[in-house]
Amino acid sequence: MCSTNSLAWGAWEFFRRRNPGPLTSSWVSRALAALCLFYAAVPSWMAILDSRFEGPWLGPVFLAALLVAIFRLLRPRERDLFQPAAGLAAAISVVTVTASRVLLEESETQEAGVLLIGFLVLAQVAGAAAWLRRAGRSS
Amino acid sequence: MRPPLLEVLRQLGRESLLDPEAVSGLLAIGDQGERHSAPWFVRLLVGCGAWVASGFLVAFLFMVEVVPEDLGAAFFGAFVLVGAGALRRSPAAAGSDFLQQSALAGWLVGQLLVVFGVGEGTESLPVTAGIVLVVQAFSVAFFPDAVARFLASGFAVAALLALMLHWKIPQGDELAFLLSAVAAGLLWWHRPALLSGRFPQAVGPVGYGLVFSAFTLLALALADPFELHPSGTLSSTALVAGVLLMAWCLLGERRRSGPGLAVMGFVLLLGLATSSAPGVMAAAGTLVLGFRSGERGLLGLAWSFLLFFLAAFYYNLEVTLWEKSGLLLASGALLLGLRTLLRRCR
Repeated sequence: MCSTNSLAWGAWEFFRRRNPGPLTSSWVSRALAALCLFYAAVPSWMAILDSRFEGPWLGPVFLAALLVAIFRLLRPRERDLFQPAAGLAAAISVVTVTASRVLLEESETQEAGVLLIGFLVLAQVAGAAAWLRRAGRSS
Repeated sequence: MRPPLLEVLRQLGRESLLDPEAVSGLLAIGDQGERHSAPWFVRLLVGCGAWVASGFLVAFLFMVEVVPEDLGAAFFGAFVLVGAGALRRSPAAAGSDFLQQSALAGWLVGQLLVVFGVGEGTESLPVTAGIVLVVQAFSVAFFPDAVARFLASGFAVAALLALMLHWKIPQGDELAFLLSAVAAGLLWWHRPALLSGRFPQAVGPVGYGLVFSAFTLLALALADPFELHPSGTLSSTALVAGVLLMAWCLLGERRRSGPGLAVMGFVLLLGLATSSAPGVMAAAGTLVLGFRSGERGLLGLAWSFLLFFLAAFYYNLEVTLWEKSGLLLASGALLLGLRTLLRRCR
């Protein structure tokens, strides 16, 4: 699903750059980007949470590739802030799931782990919001 | 579509048609709002982050057993709420996303503790719902955060619904929906006057919160497990009456002209055709409010729910797929015909 949506998104962006006339809607690009990230984030959570997971780690690989595409390949002037926001949300979810696994399963004091995860979420979201606001103002 | 309010004010100020002092005061409020407002998806990210963080913080408080039981938890929650309010109103939080996040998470934690404490302590749903309503009123007035005010509107509607269902008021779910829909309609209709009132920054978030809550109630009615039925005859009739009233006011002297009568007739026809799915009429009314106030966010919300309710309406029609496709074609043809008629009359 992730690769199919990525192909559709890539094709849309390619044709939009070549002939932007009929393809001006930002919503198609937004919807395709959100679907790609969703289909990359869910297998990433499963790979992190399932201790018996033995399959290829395609989710994290796809997610990393999508984040590179969003933050590096899309030119800042053409970039809608929705895609970076969705990318950051997916990355935050994966980091939080990883931290939860490490802190709650492998730590002896679960209380401290729960408190740390709460602050970790706050810090990540505050950082993401600050970056997005600065990016919005600069563009 | 009407131009945004701030643009109209700027133009009136440029043409010296309004008192310059009043214009500059209103523009300062509006500019402040624009400067502090982020795109909707950033606000959504912030809101979700605050929810998750507050969940972990509440879990931590219960795990270390520092939270007293019953009413003690409510008093503890009230202290947390006051602390969060003070933090959010402090000058340091104005330019710090982290402090704003922390205050919002604290506000949510305080709310949860107050509800939990009062609920456990009194074991009375009316008292708990009443406290929730009071806390939301204070939050809207004194907690200067758009996400908190948006959520507070939703919590207030949920408390109202809980009261209606608890007291087994006939068609209580419909009444709860109608109260939120009427409040949303009045708020957006009188928005210019409210913006010069005591809480101008609360008008937008509360307006969006009420509209979203009303739509959510109608959407919940589509899911059987909730056993909510806010979409009965009372809702349908009141919504058609409300949209007709708005059309009547907006048409002004053109009420008795051809296009005016066509618009009123179309509203009536749409209301009759979708009487089993009042979400369509609610979305149409929100579209009218959105166009009137020049609020693109409200229009986006209305279009999203209109598509959702239209899809649900056609899905739930107890006719064959062949007849459904015919109905869709006929609806499209009717709308295109009305558009042509209105353009010709104009």
